[in-house]
Formats: sequence, structure tokens, C-alpha cells
Amino acid sequence: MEIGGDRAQLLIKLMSATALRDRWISSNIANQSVPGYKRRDVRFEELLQERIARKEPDLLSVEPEIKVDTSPGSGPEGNNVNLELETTKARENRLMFELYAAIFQNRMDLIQAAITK
Amino acid sequence: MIDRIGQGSLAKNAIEAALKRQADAAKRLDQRAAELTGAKPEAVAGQGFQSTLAQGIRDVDTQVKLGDELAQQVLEGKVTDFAEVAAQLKQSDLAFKFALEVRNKFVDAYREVMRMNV
Amino acid sequence: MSGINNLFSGMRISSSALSAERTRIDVISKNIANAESTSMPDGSGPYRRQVVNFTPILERALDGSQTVGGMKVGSITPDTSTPFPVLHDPSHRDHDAQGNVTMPNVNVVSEMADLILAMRSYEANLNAQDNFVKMAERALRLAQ
Repeated sequence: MEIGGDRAQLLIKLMSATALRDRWISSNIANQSVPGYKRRDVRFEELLQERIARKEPDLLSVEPEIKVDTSPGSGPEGNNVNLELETTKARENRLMFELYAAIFQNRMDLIQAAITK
Repeated sequence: MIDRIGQGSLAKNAIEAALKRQADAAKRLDQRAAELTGAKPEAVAGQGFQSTLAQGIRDVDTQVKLGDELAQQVLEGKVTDFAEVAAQLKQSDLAFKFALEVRNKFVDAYREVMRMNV
Repeated sequence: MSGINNLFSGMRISSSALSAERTRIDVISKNIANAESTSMPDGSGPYRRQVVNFTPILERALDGSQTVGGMKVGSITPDTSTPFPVLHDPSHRDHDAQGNVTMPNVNVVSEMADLILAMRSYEANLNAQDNFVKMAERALRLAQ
């Protein structure tokens, strides 16, 4: 039983994608000195925005995409991990997670208040 | 308003039913008030329980609608700071809970008035 | 995360500077490390000091005007204005016929001073980023 409808489902997917992105950022940081390693991005919000721009209604079928960043790097054998960039992205990502969680929490609280008493 | 909370979900049906009961109760209260005071039912309309209730629901609806559009606006990049989002969420939360409290008081008042004998 | 950028525009400014300052620190460290390198492996002679040039990141504001939105490394160029010092040291491995050695144009004391400045700047930008995150977290707690 899904209480909350489509909007809540979308928020859940956004939170999952953000958690996935967090894992790949950690992977980038862990591999910052590995020769030849190329950093990864997780794209989800952009894919959703493309759908919205094309006015396609079915947003819930969009899945996060893991993309290898093939741009040149100054590290060992072209390793393109920039530590400052990754830590910044990690902080931004965490704030986005808290934002999505706050909106989701709010939706659930309203429903709960309506059900109780 | 109920469209916003859980489109096509069980919660929507429950809230819809509750709102309908309230509207019916408000109408009966207006009729009873007219009987008790000897006023004509038409004179009560516009100032009575039903219209006040309807206005209250409209106000809450606005707040909840704003809160609900947030996820969409965040995705479209129209939101420019976190405080804006948080404040709107809190406002719609409080507006909704306020409305529920009013409803509860309303139900109590309804029972009181219906028990009155003329 | 395009479109979500608006939420983080305040943070991007300090974030860009962090990356740029890190590059500056790396270049200064390289200068210091090569302060005594009188013959580079490619045969070009003594190490030539490198300089980092910063440029502002220009952004378009909502009303169409241009504003400065951060900082990045524009270029890393060799220092061609500081001359190579020449010391007289016949015992040095790379001395010439007159017993003189051409040293890299790196002044270690000056590089150290630059390094301290760069590190302070890095820290200041890190604090600015910290502040942004703290404010955003505090704002989100409003919703609970």
C-alpha cells in the first residue's frame, strides 16, 4: 500500500539516487591516486529535468545513470579526480538528501495528522 | 486540496470522506441556527458555519498547494535557497494542523448545538 | 546538477576558489622542491620558477548583467622576469668554464611567504563553505 501517491514516490527515488551518488563520490575519493582512474558522476535530476522539458509525464520510470567522466586529468596516467571538487560535491549532495527528506517528511506528517483523531 | 496529498491513494479517499461529512454537518448547523433564532435560512448563508468552513478550507488549500509544488520547483531549479523551502513546508504543515484543530472544535460545537432544545 | 545549481550558488564561489588555491599550493611546493635544480632532465638548464594566474569566473545575473561568481586558475606560466642568479662555485657539478653556476630563479623565502598566504586563503574559503553548509542545515531544521 503506497500512501502519498506519485509525489512521494518521486521523492523516495530522489533520495535513493542521492545515496547512490554519495557512494560513487566516495569511490572517486578512494581512487584519487589510482593510475588511469576516471571519476564517475551519477545523473538523475538532469534526466528528470529533460523529461519535464519535453513535457513527458512519466517521471517515475526514470532511473539514475552512472556516467564515467572521460575528461583529461592531471593525475597519474590521466587520473582526473580533483579532491576539492569531490568533497564539495559530497557536501552539496548531502544537503540535497536532507532537502528531499524534509519534503517527504512533511508530506507524511500531513497525512498522519489527517488520519489521527 | 486532497488532490495534493497522495494523488489516487487511500489517504485521498479517507480525507475526501471526512471533508464531505464536515460540509454536511456545517449545512445542518446553519439550518439549526436558523430554527433556533427564527431567522430565514437564506439570511444565514454567507455568514454561517458552512461558508466560514469553506473559506477556511480554501486558505489551507493554498498553503498545502504551495508546499506540494516544492518538489517540482526544486527539480526545475526555481528554488534559490533552503530557508525558502523549509519555511514553506513548515507553514503548510502548521496551516493544515490548525485547520484540523478548528475541525475538532467545530465537531464539539456541533454536538453542543444539536443537543440544545428549543 | 544543472538546475539545482541555484540552491548552491552561494557555495560554488568558495568551492571554485578552493580548487584554485590548491593548484597554487601545488605550484609553490614544486618551486620550492626545485629550488636547487640546476639542470632539468630535458636539458633546458636550471629550473624556471612557475607562477599561477587567477581569473574571475564571470556569470550572468538574473537581469542579464555580468557578475563575478568565483575564481579559477587562468594559466600557469613560467616566470620570465626574475633573472637566474649566478653563483661562483667551481665545486658544483653543473659549473661552467668560469666555475659559475646558474641557479633556478626561485627565492625560497619568498615562496614560503606565498605558501602561507595561499594556505590562509584556502582555509578562509573552506570556512566560507562550512558556513554555507551550516546555514543550509539550520534552515532545513525549520521544517521539522
